[in-house]
Amino acid sequence: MFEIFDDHLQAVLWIGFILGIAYGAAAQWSRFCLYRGLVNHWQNGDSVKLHAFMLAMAVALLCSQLLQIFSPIDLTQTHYHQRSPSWPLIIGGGVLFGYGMHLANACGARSIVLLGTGNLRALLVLLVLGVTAYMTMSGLLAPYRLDLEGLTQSRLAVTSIDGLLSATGLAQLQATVLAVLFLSGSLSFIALKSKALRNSPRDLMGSVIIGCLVALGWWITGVLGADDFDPVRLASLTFVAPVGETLQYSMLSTGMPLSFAIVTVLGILVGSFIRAIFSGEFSWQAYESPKQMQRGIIGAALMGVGGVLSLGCTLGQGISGFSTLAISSLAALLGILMGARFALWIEKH
Amino acid sequence: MRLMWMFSLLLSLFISSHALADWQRFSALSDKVGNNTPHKDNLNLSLPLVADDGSAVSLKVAFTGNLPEGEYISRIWILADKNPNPDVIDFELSSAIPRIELTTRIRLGESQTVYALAQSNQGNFWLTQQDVRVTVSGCLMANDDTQAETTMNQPRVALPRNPKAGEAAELRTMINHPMETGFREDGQGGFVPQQLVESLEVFHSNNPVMTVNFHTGTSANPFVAFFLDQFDNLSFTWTDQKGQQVTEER
Repeated sequence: MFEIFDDHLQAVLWIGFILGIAYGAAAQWSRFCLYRGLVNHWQNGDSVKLHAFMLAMAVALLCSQLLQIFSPIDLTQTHYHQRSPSWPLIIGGGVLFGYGMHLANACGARSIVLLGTGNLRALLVLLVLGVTAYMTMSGLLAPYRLDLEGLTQSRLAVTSIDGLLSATGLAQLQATVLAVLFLSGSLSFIALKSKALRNSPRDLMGSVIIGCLVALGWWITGVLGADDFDPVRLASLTFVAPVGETLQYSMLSTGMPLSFAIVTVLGILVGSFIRAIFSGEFSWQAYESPKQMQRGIIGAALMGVGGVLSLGCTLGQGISGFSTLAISSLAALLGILMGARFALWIEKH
Repeated sequence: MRLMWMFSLLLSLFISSHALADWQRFSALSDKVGNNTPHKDNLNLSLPLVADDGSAVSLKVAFTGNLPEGEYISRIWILADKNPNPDVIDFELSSAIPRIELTTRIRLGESQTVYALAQSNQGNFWLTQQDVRVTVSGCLMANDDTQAETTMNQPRVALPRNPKAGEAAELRTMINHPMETGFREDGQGGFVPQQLVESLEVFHSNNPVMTVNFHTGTSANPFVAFFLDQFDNLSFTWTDQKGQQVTEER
């Protein structure tokens, strides 16, 4: 099918890069951001951005599950479906991430987009986030993470929401369809009920595009990347470990392969930059005070640590993980929301 | 001060002349080499510098030297000094292999040095080595406590896209099998019994081309890619520890 590419790996990398560019441009255009949505919702009662995020969740879920039904992809093979997850770490990591997101003023994906528009605050956030994520995953903090994980793991019989449903006696396909219809339906109902969202084509279109891009990510790694001998690991858009992996690649590229995660990060940067240049929105920005910078660094570190503990960020768990119907994604998203709410509450008092 | 320098220089000379090279202290290697002095050129090993999944590290070994008429590489061993069992994989090659470039996936229990040792049919040795740092895995080992079937299934062989007789091209082979090492705990205080695929034999028109011997250091679902220049009448036979065989023909 893709004769222009030497092999499936090259196809995955090129198409993944294009996916990143599309995400970068769409997210820069629509200013897609869960954190902004939450702040606007809780502080000003303006829910457009939050509803846009919900719509993206609904679209991603619908498209990804359709893809799963009509292709050989098995989304329960992703790391969101841990057989022995540690609930305290997933939820606690989410809380850290949510709190850090408040301090740094944006999550991982949003920071990459911001960097593309000339925001140097985002550069510092990404550097710190990437390093702390890898410290937690395989570096100085990894032994503690593994110990904690060992202490708090619990074994699951089913890892997915539709799995829970089918345990009650429904057939697998019926359970999936039911879960998707209910979750996608109610999320998009709440989102589209909002007149403000319907009247804002940017937010509306942006979130639909981003939802579709998540499903496209599964297709790229799962269908294009399928190979009898060397299949690509099933993944879609997520932005904690990939930021760290991109940093690592920049330092060790002679001894490590390029991956889907890295090309999506680079693609977003490029996509956001191009869109910012063409729309005249590119402008250099930096911290104005040491105090702000401290907040940014601490926030980024909390996001790096928390994002690894909870196995993903707002986009990774909130949209990509959610689209696989993983129970752990709901727990992580809940943690992120609690963390962000708590941070806002602290600041108020 | 000057005396100090001279002394330390002398000391370091003394140490270097008496110390054994790393590989000589590694008995799995020195037993094979014996009293021969291995060449250090022409044999290349490529592995990632950092591996975050030690259960499948891709490895390529290639020999680039020109050998005199009648001499060819007949054995290649891959050994890892800090694995519980240093044997990773070894290859018995015939002169029918047009180009020595072998790819596989190996297991590394921790950061260590991986050695490749090649021997020609005339008894010459070549040695090379590379350090690999193995980090603890990310959050991705979702299903490693499942008990997989310990029988071989889904043998597969992929010929090159446009095979031409006489032109060296790479073909890939793989078979599904968990390659139980016997070192893995079963969660009830014991160990999961060892169960390995032992070998892959490749024949061309009933002449042996290559035998690959798999050991505990070979990854699950053993994968081997190698070069040939004849692509008809090929047969591939995998043999497991129970003596069962699976054969594919092309």
